[in-house]
Amino acid sequence: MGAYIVRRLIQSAVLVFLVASFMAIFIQLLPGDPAYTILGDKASPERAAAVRKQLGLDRPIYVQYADWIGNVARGNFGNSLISDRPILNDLAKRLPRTIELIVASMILAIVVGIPLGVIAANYRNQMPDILVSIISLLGVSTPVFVSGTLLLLVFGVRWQILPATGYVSITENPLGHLEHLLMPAVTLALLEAAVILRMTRSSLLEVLSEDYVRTARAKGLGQRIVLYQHALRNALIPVVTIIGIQAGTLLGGTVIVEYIFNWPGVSTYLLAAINQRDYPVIQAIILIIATLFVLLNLVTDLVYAAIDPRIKYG
Amino acid sequence: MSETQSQSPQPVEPRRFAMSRRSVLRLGIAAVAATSVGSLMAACGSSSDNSTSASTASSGGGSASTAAASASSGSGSASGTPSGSGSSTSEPSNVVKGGELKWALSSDPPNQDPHISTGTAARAVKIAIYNRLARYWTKGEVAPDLATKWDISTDGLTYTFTLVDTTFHDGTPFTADDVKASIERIQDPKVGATQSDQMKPITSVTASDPRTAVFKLSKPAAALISVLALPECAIVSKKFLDGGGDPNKTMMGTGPFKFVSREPGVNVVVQKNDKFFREGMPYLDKITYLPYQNEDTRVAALKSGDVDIAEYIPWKDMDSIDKSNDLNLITTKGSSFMLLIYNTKQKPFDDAKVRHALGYAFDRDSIVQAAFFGRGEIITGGLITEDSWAYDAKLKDYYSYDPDKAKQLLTEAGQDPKSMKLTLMSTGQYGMHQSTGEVCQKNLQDLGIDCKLDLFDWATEVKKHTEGDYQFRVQGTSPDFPDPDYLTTFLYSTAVSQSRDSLSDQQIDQWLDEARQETDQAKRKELYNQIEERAAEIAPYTLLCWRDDGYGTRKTVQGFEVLPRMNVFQSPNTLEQVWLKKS
Repeated sequence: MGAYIVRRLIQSAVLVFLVASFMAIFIQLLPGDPAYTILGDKASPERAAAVRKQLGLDRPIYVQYADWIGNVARGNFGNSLISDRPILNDLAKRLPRTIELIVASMILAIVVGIPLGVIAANYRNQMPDILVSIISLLGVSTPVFVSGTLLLLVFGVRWQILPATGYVSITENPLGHLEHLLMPAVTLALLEAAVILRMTRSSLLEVLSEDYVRTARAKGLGQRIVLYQHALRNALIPVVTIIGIQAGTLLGGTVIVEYIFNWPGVSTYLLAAINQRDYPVIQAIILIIATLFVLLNLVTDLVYAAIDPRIKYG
Repeated sequence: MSETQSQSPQPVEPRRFAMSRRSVLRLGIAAVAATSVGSLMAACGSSSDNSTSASTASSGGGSASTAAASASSGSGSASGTPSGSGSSTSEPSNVVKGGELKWALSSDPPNQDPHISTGTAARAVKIAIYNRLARYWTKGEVAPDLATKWDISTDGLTYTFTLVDTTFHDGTPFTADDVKASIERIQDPKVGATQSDQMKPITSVTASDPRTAVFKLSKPAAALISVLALPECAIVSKKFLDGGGDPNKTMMGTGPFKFVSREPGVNVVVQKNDKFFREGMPYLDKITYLPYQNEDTRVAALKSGDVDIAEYIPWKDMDSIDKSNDLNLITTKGSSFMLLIYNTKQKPFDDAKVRHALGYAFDRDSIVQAAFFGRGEIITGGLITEDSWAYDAKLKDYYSYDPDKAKQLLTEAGQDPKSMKLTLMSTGQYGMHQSTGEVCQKNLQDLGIDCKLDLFDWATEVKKHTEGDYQFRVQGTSPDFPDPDYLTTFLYSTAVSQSRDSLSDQQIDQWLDEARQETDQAKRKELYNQIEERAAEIAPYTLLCWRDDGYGTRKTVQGFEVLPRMNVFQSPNTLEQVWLKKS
């Protein structure tokens, strides 16, 4: 197992290196010029050229790339081309907010998705199952930008029972922080919960038809014990996998959710950086997202092995 | 993930991984808890970022200064003493002092340097913190700011500014040396200041005494005061600069509000300057600026009460804000204009007759409807508007929407519309640019022209147009200041970014130079009229429409005024007189 983890970590490092290198080189091939973001579009080409020189963007791409890789290896992501602030400082503030959003929505999705999935399986083809299936179908088929905008307009603008937009630091106002977190987290959780619910339902139904469940019932065990102690545990294995896969999808979903709710996480930072062609910021964020994604996959695989005694990695 | 799928389960092997399922569960819970704690710690760390020491604000008593005098633009008057009140009126009797205003910015300010313009959002913050020698006020006039008055010598080569007695936010007294240091910084090519070209005629700034700054010019510059009143000519502290201070990192001026903190992407906080030189002002204790990149979210924040003022209201939302019981929509007519710019280095636009013909091809009313929901005015003549002293009614209906005439003129120019292939460049990032492009494309297709519309993201579009890599393109822009000297920015053959590939006309260059150096307003008017007429004739661009722009506010916001026309985004000049009515 140890050797497996080491091997996977090495593979992950190579993968992240490749993604980062690919981005670092190809991002500069995008048309656009950060000098005009800094100077405005009325600037003369001469002044823009002077700014590019000052920023070191006039050097060949491979020199810039080597320079960047060298700095990153020393833990230095450099400064934003536009704001001249250290990227690491900005990331240190923004990344936890995005992770918080993902974790909060994940918890919400699990807390809602698994019990509803169990109910649906338990009352297969009866009214509760049909109701839950309709809800999950709505959840899966509603795009995040639609559900997010609807929530915002209904709860934030029409009824004004929740803050529509923005962010409050948890140290400044813990309750306000949670209020601001609620709608973005629910928006992200809707999609996730629907997927978890469907997976729980189908997996549980499959397990409930297994021989050992029939045996348990034949022994005279009650439905609750059969369901929760015998069937659910085994049914949860694919659910855990899907949660792991979904965590990666959520990372993508935050781009839209953060944009709609003005949540100052890493995704809004990335969007602004792409619009402004702030190359080092884009590179740093891609590097971090790639690392997170690869690690998440690794952790999911390991959890899978841990939860299912039949699986081992050698 | 591929690993999970490719490894086949091996049912009978003993488990090598020695964790029980229960411990995995526990580990999961611990991980969730750790994430929350991590985010909590990060939040703790961030709250003190960038903060400077700020004294607690107290609601200062006293009445507002009421030194009212007539304000004038100063342009053209050979030895005028344009004086006037920087501040508008006496304090309204019902003013409620104190409180916090929340302002929705249209983006996170890209920089903090007052001498480099990076758009409306950054300006809104800088205006609250810095003063200029003069500033634009509510009727579009230039009013005194840090200079109480200025005298211009008859030859237009010496400007003498009399300065107010005040201090910077760090307590350093403001003197003429600060004016000198600020102008020299704007002139320094290393800084890359937005108005550096306009400061070129200034050969020296001397401080004849701490309250008097004297500018010497190499040649007259009729629009100098108009330029000095722009936010990008902010006065910064000499002591701060000499001490190695970087204005892009620390905002420190003499303005009504002083910088408290900035959390990138979250907010910028400024607090009342108790020692502000216009007595009794500002009324507010604090302004929190919140960046909203997404215009729909910005409008939702205003409607929900998350913010008190939102800038850059999208045209599609203007009606609903206007009709709301809780909100005010404050707009100005004609702040910016839309036009098509031709690349005269490429066929067929190297031929003035073709460009001229297309002046009749576009249905400007449809553009106003499609792009601005009816909130705009079509342009059929020149850029100098009726409210300017330089306006010439002769040009008013130079162009019209007349497809038949366009076709006929194209044929006369030796072009067959049915065999013409054109590519129009615009951006899909801003709705009004895209809609304008779509209407123009349709109008050309109606003439039988095969017109393709290329929509790029904004950064790509800017790169392409600055490099001349286009055939013709949609542009939306605004004059920098009301003086018609702004035409230089569009029409001059060398110093122009807007039309670098569109025009090089020596006659226009010569007239622009003459007009800039002319001190007699009547003669200047004549020159600008000639320039506009020639521009209409040789048509380096086709002017389409002016658009309205403005702000939305909660009804509790009092005293906020929108400056007319192109000065609209200097409306934060009135922040010092803003107060919040108890709702």
